[in-house]
Amino acid sequence: MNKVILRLCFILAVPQVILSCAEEDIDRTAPELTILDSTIPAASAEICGGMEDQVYRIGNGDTLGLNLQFKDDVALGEFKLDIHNNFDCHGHGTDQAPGVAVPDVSSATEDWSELIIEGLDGTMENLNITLMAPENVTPGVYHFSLQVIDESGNDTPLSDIFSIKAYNRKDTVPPVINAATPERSTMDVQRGDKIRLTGSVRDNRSLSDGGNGVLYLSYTDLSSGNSFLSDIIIPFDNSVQTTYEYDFEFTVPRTISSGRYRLSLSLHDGLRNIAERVEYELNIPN
Amino acid sequence: MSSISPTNIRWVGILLLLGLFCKGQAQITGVVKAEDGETLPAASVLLLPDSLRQITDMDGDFMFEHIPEGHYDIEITYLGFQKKSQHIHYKEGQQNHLVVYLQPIGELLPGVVVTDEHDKQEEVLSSEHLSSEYLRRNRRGTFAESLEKKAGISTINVGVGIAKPVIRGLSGNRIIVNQFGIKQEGQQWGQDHGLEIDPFAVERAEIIKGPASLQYGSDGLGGVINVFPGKILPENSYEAQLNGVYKSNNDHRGGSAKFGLNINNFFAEARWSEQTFGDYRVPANIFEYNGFTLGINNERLKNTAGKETNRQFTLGATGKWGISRIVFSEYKLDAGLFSGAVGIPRSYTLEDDGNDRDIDVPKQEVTHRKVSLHQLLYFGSDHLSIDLGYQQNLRTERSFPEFHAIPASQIDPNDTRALAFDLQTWSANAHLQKHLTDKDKIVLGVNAQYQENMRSGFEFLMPDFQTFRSGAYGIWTHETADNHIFQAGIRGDFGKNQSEYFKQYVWNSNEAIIDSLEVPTTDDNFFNWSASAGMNRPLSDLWYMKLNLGKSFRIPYPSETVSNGIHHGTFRHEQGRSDLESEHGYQMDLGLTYQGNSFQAQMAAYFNYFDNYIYLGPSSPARFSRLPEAGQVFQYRQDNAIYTGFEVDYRWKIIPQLEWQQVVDYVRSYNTRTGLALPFTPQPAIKSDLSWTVWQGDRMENVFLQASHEYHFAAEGPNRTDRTELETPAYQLWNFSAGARLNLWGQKFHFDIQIQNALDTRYLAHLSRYRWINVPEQGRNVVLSIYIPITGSL
Repeated sequence: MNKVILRLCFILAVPQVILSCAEEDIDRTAPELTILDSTIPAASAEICGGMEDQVYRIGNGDTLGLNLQFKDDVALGEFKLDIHNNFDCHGHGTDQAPGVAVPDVSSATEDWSELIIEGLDGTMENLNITLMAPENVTPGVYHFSLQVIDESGNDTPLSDIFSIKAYNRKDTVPPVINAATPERSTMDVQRGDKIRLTGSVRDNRSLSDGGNGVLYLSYTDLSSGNSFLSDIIIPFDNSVQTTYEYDFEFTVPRTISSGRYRLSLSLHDGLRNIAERVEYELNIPN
Repeated sequence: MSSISPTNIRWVGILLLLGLFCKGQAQITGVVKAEDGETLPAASVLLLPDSLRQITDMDGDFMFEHIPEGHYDIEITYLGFQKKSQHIHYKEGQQNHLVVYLQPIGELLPGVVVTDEHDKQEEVLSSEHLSSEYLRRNRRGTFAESLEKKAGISTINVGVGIAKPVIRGLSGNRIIVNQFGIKQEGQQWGQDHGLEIDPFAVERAEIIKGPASLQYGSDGLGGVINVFPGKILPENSYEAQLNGVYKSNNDHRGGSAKFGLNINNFFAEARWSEQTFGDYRVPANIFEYNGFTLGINNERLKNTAGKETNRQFTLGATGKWGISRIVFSEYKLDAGLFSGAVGIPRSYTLEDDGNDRDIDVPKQEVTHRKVSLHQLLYFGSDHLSIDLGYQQNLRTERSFPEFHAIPASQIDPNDTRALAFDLQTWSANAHLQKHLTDKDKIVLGVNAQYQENMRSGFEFLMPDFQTFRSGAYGIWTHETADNHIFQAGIRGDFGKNQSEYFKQYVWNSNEAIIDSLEVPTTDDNFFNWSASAGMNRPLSDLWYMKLNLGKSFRIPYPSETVSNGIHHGTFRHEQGRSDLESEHGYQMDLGLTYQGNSFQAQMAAYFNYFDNYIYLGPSSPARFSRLPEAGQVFQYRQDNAIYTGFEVDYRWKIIPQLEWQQVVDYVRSYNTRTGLALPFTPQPAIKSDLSWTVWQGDRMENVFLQASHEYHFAAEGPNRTDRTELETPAYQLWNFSAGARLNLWGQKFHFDIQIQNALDTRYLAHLSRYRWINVPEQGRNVVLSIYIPITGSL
């Protein structure tokens, strides 16, 4: 090999060596966030069928005070607090999760929604935050996340995601479904068949009180776990009092593939207290 | 189609250029003999790279007529004899009669077919050539993964059905994949977007590592993968191919059938391929994600099943005048995404659904259709090549709207079309190769490409856009009497990006608008130039060297300039910047090759400096997305960057039956502003193979056993990971394979078995999409494949 080649090899080897010895003191450390104190303590609770360690139970109009401490080795950047509803459990259907978005009905309650972003300075900062649940909060499960980044963008995404279980003192009693037909909980059906569902629902207060009262039917493909809303959605208007007699027909979709399905009848009262669902298993043969 | 039939093109071509390139008729003739001098009739003689095939006559003679001057390889196969490849440098007026001796089958493994694309830049660039046999033996779920064993190549993958190639750490819009001369355009900017090519349909391929943007366009500054058409059948013959594959890990069943014929030099080919696979297994019951421990039921990743269907149809004609081809192809993929990988994984999304073959939401649906016309016209020793193509890429990413914080009032909750793109691309390439003297030739070429992209779906990431790219280039090659090759070229480019204004409101669950995603109208023009100079010279009888210096550039793609939204495929709020400039690369590449009898080695080292390198990183100073359920904003940024590294690939025939091969691969990236690596830099790796040829006989050929080991170094620390990028520990894998070719009743049957990840090792791959949620890669996988080629005369 001649000298030119050796020189070229050397030229190409130099950057490998230099870059291998690059500075190790570059800021790659994520900032820290500590909840020093909270006015409502977090506790373990069941959320959407699974247990979570840090769940805040908060009633309407209640305040949650947080004393937060942020630390970074170089320079803090921003803090973000986010509360949004998790009524659908953000996932596929299980016994606990509806698996579909709750049908939109005229809402008189208010979903708790917070989005706070604040700039942070220095290497350590304490922040007191007071959050108040809406006076007329929609009861249910909420995601509650706290995030911090430093000036360079080091972060620990999604590491502080908690849940809030909000309740509304005006009514904490869930309504009840009394199904009359079908009598059997498992049925063999064909595409296009009509299934008649009858029965009654009742609650301690007017089902329309609060504005969220709705009875709706959804179905879940048990082979995939995915759920779909049917076109049967019965919102409760002012004419509905503490009881309601239902009687409707569900037509098995002609486009549905064969297999096992779960038909679910769901009920919310006006403040979105959720009734225990009534479920039927459908078998659609080939 | 009658107006552009091959016959018409032939006459138009001949009339237009008759007289300009009038040279004497030329031919390569030869005779094929056995070692003892006996002539071999009916041996197959293949002339590469033009894929012309002849069968020797009763006296063992063959003849290729009207061949332009240049470098060729002749590959001769004959039942019971070793395949032989011979390189020839063909010149008019010289004696071009070859006498080829074949050895009866001994104990050697067949050599890899080496093709020589004699008019291209790769004469002075590092390149790898892949034969159909190599591709078959190393077949993985996707074409991109089949290339991974080669030095400098890795893949960015999403599970087992979606993968895209990475060359020396560069990927996406920095890599061009040409299928039959037409650049594949399929939203390749997306990290979770795969390459839409049927792995069965790739019969020959070539990888150019390094800046090949001179001939292929500005996006080729990272490298090029050329997928060539299959061999043209001999006149009045037919061929059928049957491929079957089964993979135990995910109950993957695949097959491909091809039928081709050539009648009086008019040829046609049809291929149909299908692959279906279930949820794949990983050697883990749980995975850790941000403090949550989540279950993987039955060690299967829920909803990772998929189905791929491909069709390809070719019509063509060949003759003294050249080759014409029209190719229609359709690629369809329906692939589920792990339910835990979209949104925030929680245990209830991961419940066993009782079915490991269903493909459910969330998922990707991709259809890629292409029609292309390829015309090669010979004029004596020169030629003109024209490629025209139209392709449509339809991509739909399905997800439930409630995963995206869209209130039910704004959308039908059962509408799962989250993100959809309809990308149409029209391409035209032409180049002329002309010899100026015996020692000098030039290639002059032009490329043009126009694209339209239409978006739909409830999620916003990018607006509708149009792009135009065009370029003209010239490459001059000079060859000295002592086989030194010098090459220099220059290219000018004009490009245009236009995108529409778009605004999408962001709602909270109280039906209140809290923010909006907005992108401006853009209309940007880009002019620039590239240049390169290189040499290829023998240093001795056994050593030769390639050296290339190049300046290249890349025009920003609209995904980098006008995207704005949470890409739920990547969990981030990604923002483009409309003020991005072209990135420029200054690249140096040195390759050394040693060609001994029992020892061959290739070494390459490269240094690439990029001015205004575009990448996705935290904004400066970092800030949070104002959108709910989003982390910090990741912006397309420009910094100066270095990509450097080396590759070593050697094979040593310890004894004739035993061969040892090792590939060492090291890429280092460096962002000069942050001092950190660039994101998605592959882990350095050492891959070793020990192959033993157990048996060579008449009925059973090439019976081999192979043990392979891969060691992938950790991607840890600032030298190997960017800020916020997860670190990946080192891992090692053992793979075993065996194969045989049976000759029964005059028919060949190829059988191969691979045991991938034989020890069922749990590991994370740094470039895997599922690495971000700590989900390990596929566990043990036994792959069985069969290939039956059937040929005959008409």
